[in-house]
Amino acid sequence: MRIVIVGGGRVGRELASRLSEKQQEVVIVEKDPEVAKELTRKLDILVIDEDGANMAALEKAGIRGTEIFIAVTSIDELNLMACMMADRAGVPITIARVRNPEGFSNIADTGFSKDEIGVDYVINPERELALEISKMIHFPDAEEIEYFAGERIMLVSVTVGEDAEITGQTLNDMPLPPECIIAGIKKRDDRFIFPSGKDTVETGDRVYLIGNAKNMRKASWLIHHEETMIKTVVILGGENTGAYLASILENDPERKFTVKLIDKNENRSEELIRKLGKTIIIHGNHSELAYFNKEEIAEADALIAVTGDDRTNIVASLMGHKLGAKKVISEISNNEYAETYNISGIKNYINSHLITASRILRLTRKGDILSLSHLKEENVEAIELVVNPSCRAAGKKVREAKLPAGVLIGTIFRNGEIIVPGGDTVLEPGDDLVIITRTSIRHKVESYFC
Amino acid sequence: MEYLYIGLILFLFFLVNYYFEKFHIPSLLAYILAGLALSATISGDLYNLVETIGDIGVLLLFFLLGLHYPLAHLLNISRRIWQVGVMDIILCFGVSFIMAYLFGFGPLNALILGGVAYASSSSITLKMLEDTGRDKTPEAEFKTGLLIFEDIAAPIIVSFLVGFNLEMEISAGSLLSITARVLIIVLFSILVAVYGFRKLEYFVKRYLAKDFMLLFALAAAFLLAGLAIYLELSSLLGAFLAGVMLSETRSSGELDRFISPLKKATLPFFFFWFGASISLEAGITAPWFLLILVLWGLAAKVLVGFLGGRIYGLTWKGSLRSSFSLGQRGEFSVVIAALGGPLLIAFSGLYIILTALAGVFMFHKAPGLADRSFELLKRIFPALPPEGNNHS
Repeated sequence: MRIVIVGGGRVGRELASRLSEKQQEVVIVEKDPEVAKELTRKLDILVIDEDGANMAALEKAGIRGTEIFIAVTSIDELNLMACMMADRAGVPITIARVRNPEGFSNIADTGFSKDEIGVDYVINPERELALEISKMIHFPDAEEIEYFAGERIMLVSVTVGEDAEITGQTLNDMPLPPECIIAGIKKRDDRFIFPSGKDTVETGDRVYLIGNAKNMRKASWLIHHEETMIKTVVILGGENTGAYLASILENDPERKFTVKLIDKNENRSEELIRKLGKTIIIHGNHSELAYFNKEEIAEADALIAVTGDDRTNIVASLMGHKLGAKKVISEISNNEYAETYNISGIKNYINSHLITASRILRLTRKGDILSLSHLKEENVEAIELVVNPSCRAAGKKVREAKLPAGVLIGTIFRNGEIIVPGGDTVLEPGDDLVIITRTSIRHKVESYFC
Repeated sequence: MEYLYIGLILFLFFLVNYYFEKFHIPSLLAYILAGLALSATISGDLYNLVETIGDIGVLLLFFLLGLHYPLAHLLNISRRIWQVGVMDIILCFGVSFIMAYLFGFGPLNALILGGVAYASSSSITLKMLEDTGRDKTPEAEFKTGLLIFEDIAAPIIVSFLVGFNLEMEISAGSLLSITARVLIIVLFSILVAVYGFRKLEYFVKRYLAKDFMLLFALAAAFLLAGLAIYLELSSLLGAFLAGVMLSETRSSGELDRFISPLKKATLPFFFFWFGASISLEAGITAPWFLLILVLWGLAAKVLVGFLGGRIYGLTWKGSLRSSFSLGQRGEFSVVIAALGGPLLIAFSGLYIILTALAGVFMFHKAPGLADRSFELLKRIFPALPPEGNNHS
C-alpha cells in the first residue's frame, strides 16, 4: 500500500518510520531540502523536496496509485489544499492535520461539504492531546489507558501496590470483578508475559487489565490498592490544548472538577473567559513566571503543564511534584527532554506529536481492524478488530483457532455484551475482539481474523 | 460659590491624599475621615452637589467594573456565588438581627440593624482592589460576584424594611414584584448585549478614537442606571449591567482608559460624602453592644470570605485574603440606617464608620494576615497543602 505524507516534521517523521516498519511504501513530500536529505538518509525512503500543495510534486510522489494521503505540515491551509488535490487525483483516503478546526468548520459554513473539500479525516493534535490527558485525569492511578468498543471496554496498566492483598495469589484465585482479566504483566525485571491462570503478580509489577470499563476502577483498586481522587485541576497554558482540556473537564457529565487555567497572556485570558463557562481563569503578567504560581500549584490535585514550552513545562512539573500534586502531567514536544522527566521521577509526560501520529496510524488500518495501540511496553500492541466471516478463526473455539504464542484475546464485544473468552468460547463472525499481541507477530494475527 | 467650595474640596483631596500616600495609608480613608471631620459644615446645596458628583463617581466605578465582566464570565461566577450569597445573608443579616433583638432592640430596629450589618461596601471594596493591584485575581472575581449578589439582595431588604417601617403588609406579591424588576433589567441587558452590542463590535472599534464614542459609553451607563432607578432598583446595578453590555463589543480596555480619569476625579467625592453623611449628633446608646456588633460584623465577613472562598474554589490563602477584605460597610448601610430614628441613625452611623475604617485597614493588611493565619492553620491541620507565597 502506498502512503504519501506531506510534511517531514516530527509527526511526518514518526508516521513514516512506523509505516515503513509495517512494510508500507511510504513517500514523503517535504519542501525543506535539508530536512528532506536527512529523512532520506535516516528512513531510507523516497523524499520529494518540493511544496506539498503543488500537483507536480504530488505526481512525482506517485499520487495516482496512492491509497492513503496524509498532510501533516504545520500550516492548516496547506494541509487542506494538499488533501483537496489528492482527493481530486483519486486517493481513497485523505487525512489532514488541522490545528484550528474552528476555521475548518467555518469552511463548511460557507456552503462546501467535507466531501467537496476532499478531506476524509481531520486530526486536531491539540484536541487529541487534551482527550488523552483527560483520560489520565479520570483514571489517575493508571499509567496507560486505552478505550475500545465505543469506550465500553478499557485497557489500563497499573503498578501492583505494596499493600495489595493479591500479591502471591495465582490469577485463578484472584477476585477480579466480572468481565475483567489481566491481559499482560510487565515483571520488575522488564520481562513482559502473557499470563496463564497459574501466574502470580508481585509488588512493583505493572499489570495490564482489560475488561468492562464500568468495573475497571474496582479492578484497578485491587491491584494498586490506592485510589487517587482528582477534584482540583490546574492547567498551565491557555493555548489550544489547555483550552480544549478545560472545556472537556468543565463539561464532564459525571465528575465535577474545579478547573483553573493559568495563562501568561492577558488578551488570551480574556478570550478564554468568554469561551470557558465554568473554569477559573488566572492571568499573569506576560512572563513565564505566571506559570510558577506556587499557591495554586500547591493545592492542585492534578497539575497539567501544557504551556507550549518544554522547559517551562519541566520546571512547573517539578514544582508540582515537589509541592505534592497527586498527578502531574506534562506535554513535551522534544523527546530529548524525556530523560529529564525520568530522572526527576515524573512518570506522566505526553508527546503531542506521537499522539497525533498514533491517531493517524489508527486511520491507516486495513479493512476489519478498528484500532491499533502501541503500549508503553514497546513490543506489545492492542488491536481491536472485527472477526471476518471468511477468516480462519471464524466459527472456531478459541482453543481450536490455534493462535500463535504471544497472543491473547482480551475481550469479545458481541451484541452489546462484553465476554471474557475461555478456551471453549466460539469466535463468531462480526465479533469485536480486543487482542494483545507482540508487535513482531501482528501481521500473522491479522491473518487469523481478517 | 459652589465652584469655590468644589475647588477647596478638591484641594483638600489633594492634600490628604498626598500625606496619606506618604505614610502608606489608603487614600480612601483620607476622604472618609475628611468628610466625617467636616460633616457639620457640609450641608444644604453643597451637600447635595457633593452627593451628586460622588454618585457619578461610584456609578462610573461600577460601569468600568462591568466592562471587565462579559456575560459568559458573569454567568460563570454566578453559578458558584449564590451559595456564598445565601450564607452571607444568614450570617451578616440574620445573626445580627437576632443579636440586636436579644439585646433588647425592637423587631423593626433589630431588622434595620441586621440590614445595616449586611452588605459590604461595593465602592470601598472595588476601590481597594484597584489601589492594591489585586483587581485581576480570582479573589477579585469572588468578591465582585458577592458584591453584585449583595447589590441585588440589598434593595430587596431595603424594600422589605420600608414596607415593615410603614406598617404596610409585606406580601409575597411585593417580593415577587422586586424579583420581577431585577429579572426585567437583567434580561433586558442580556438581550441588548447579545443582539445589539455584539453586533456593534466593529462599529465601536472603528470609531473608538472619536470623542463621540465616549459619549456613547457614558450614555449607556446613565441610561441603564436611570432605568434601574425607575424600576426602584440600585443605580449601581444598572451601571454595572451597562458595562457588561458594552464589554460584548470587546473594547473594554480602551473604553476603560477613556473613562477612568473621569472616575478618578469624581469618586473621591463619594467617599467624602459618605463620611459627611454619618451623623453622630444624637449620641451613642449601648456602646458595649455596638462593640459586640462591630466585632461580629467583621467576624461574620471573615467567615463568609473564608468559607465562601473555599466554596468558590479559591486556594486556602486566597480564601483567607478574601476573608480579611470584606469587613467594610458603606452605601447600602447608610440607606438602611436612614430608616431608623435619630438614636438608631447615630448608632448605625458609628457602626458603619468603625467597620469601614477597620475593613479598609484589614483589606490593606490582608496578604500578611492571610500568611500568618495560614501558618496557624498549618499548625492545627498539618495535612494542609504546602505554603504558597503568591499574593496575587
